Amino acid sequence: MFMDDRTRYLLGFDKVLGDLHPSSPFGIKCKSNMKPYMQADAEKLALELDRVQTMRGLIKTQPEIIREIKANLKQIKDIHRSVERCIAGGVLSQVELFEVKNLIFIMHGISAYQQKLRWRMDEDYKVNELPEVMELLDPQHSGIRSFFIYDEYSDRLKQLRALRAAKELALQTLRKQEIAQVEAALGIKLKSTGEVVINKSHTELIKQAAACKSLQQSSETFINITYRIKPDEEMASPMKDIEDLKLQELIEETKVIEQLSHKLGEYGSDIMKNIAAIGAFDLLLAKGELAMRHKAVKPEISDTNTISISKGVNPVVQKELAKRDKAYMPINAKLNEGVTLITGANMGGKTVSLKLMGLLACMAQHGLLVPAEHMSLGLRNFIYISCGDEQSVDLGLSTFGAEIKGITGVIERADQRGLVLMDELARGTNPKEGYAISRAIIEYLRNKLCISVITTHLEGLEKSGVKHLQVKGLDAVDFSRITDNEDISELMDYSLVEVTGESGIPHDAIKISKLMGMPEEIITQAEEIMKKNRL
Amino acid sequence: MSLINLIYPRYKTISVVGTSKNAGKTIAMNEIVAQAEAQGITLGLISTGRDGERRDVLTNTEKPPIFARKGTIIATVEDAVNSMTDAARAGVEILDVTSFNTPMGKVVLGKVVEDGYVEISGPGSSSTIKRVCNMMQQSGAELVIIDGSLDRRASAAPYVSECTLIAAGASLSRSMDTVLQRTKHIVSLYTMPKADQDILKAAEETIEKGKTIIIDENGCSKPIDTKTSLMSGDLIAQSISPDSRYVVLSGSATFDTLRDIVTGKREGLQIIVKDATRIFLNESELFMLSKLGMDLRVIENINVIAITVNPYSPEGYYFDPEVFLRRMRETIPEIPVFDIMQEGC
Repeated sequence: MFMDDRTRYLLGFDKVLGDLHPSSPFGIKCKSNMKPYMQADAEKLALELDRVQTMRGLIKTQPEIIREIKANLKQIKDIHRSVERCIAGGVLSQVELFEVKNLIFIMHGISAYQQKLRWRMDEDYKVNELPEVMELLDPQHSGIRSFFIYDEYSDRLKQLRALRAAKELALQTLRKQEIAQVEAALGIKLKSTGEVVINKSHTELIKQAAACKSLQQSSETFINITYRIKPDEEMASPMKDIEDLKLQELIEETKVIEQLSHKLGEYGSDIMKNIAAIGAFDLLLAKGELAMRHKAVKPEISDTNTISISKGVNPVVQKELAKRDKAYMPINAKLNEGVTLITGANMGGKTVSLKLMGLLACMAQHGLLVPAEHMSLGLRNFIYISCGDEQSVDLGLSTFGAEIKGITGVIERADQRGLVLMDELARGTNPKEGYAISRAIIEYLRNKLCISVITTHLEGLEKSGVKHLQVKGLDAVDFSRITDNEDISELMDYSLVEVTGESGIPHDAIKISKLMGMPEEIITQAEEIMKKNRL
Repeated sequence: MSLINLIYPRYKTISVVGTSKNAGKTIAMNEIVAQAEAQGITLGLISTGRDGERRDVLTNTEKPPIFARKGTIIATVEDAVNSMTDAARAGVEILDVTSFNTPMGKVVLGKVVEDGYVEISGPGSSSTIKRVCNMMQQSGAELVIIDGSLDRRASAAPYVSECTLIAAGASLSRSMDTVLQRTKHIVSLYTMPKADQDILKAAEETIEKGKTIIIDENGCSKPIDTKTSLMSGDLIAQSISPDSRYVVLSGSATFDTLRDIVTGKREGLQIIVKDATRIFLNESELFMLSKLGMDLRVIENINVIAITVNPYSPEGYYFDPEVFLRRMRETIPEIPVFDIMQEGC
């Protein structure tokens, strides 16, 4: 497994995906099927990243074409089930045929605009025109998206309809003649439906109507009698013919729909191929747009077992900060196999930086451009993070228990090219044992293939001889000159610097507590305790 | 003047509602359809929800379906289009399949390709009805007829259309007097005068926010701390001062609330509610409050352009058609009344 759901959540990859918006249901499906590219797929990943970069370029250089394609994508409804059913020999309903016709129109639209793009795209992304299918669904070549069981589908249907129309016209003429006759005879006007309502008080008229051979009583109330034109013998024959014709038409229409479905089924695989291409293109477009928003670059896929990030930005944190009108300070980091230790002031962004490393690696391996000035990445077999805000309560484990359980699981894979991120290792237990365990874990991991990054406050771990990065923190700040309520995040320098030799870990906790308004009494006492300890 | 000339070309959408079941709504619709057809007007037909039942479920009386002419644009549902078994159905060309769902599938826009009976349907909410109406007009419908109803769910129909026809029928009550009075009441609620023009926008925004406020003659507004105006008349009444001019009520206007506000208030105080669906008053309550000097206004009212009468009830009784027609005209003199069941409409 590349990473578990918790790592995915903790790194913020879910949130990054939440900002990736394909326009069509097919693109959305492709997004939900996104898988990380593993070492064996390095070439494929490189190609994918190239494509995303190309797409980002196209969004910039040919925005009007991209806009048209997106407008087409947005109209798409997910009707792949209808197409599948059609391939399997099923019969579609009229509404489904309409939907297929629309999809073909949309495909033609996308295809036309794709051809205008300055990009020689792979077959997998190319939406093809399907003239044969179009011919089937638009036999009149009207170019109109509506659908009807057109006369063109069947000569017999055409004949039946023409015959019925002629019979109906003849019948209509006869009826009109009869109505005119009745109107002349009785001196009244009939409704266009051939009905007339007569009040019973008009006894003479009622008598006449009742005696009229061309009228029949259709209903009676206490006051009125409704008479209706009675079809004479001359009309009986066309009426029966019309009924017969309607029935035959219905049978013929059913046959037409059956044949049409079967013919469509023959082109089903072409339609499905286009559906796949639309999905792939749509997702690529969404990736390109995300890269634009992130001002991202194409990560360089390296053979070496290293990760190097320069001016990397955590897009999730950046987005949150932007809401509060604050800027994210980009981070540089070079990681090699074995262990890298990060130390630094509280509130120095160690956790955010740790997550950044995992998130950017994860994004790159999912074929996304990364928000950094430059990144090179030796592909990872897996990513794991052990981090403070895990919901370990759900598992009934203490903080320490959850941490150790997770790390134990991942340590077994230390011989692989993984990325293991541990925030505040052994934070949940007493410092002495915590130190011992941490030191032992570092010793175990230091010569392994896996890249491990560990943040810690524990004194002495920096002496274990592994690579050591430190948050610049408040080093440059003159504490005597700042007021109590100043925003620490404004003063903090989040950048990481590699330290060599025995530099110790920074002691900013008391200063920061003071800045954050901890009572003077406690601060003074804490400072005294620190002095005593040093002696 | 004939019915169709009252409607077209002045209005492009009309809703048809009945005061009760079997009030003659479908007959009225068919009449408009026939008259429009005679003048060569391309129609759009849509219903607020489930329709096309050949029999009325409640009373088991025959409910005539709509006879549509070739070229008519209809809103219908997937199930109705896909049904291949009904020989009486009109052939329908599918123009569009909307994203609005009904229990019988998505709402489909169709064009009638040959004369015949059609099942019309439509979405339930007022905003979606409006959107489908627009789609039908874009497809060429010159006059859209909305088959609505006055029940609560679909009472939005009249607010979507430019004008409304009310079908009043004997089925409302065995007593003609009651039918006349109830019809008059319905009409007076739906044609309730609008609030003053200059206050409309502010009142509408207040109601959208779900607030209740009092506005004085200087235009200053005072919010009343009530979650709903139900049972809060007392609170509002206490906050009314001699210079109050408008009370904007977000919730329902019930008798108790209105009575509290009206009692002891100064002249010229307008009480404003959203529309008739928010007014819960019967005839005598409305009469009494009016006598007390209540000036109830709405933000949106309905343009009732005609009333049709159906003197027959499926329960087996009937009114004398001529008397019923004459008395309806006398009771509601301001609106043209037609008896389309009889001759000479």
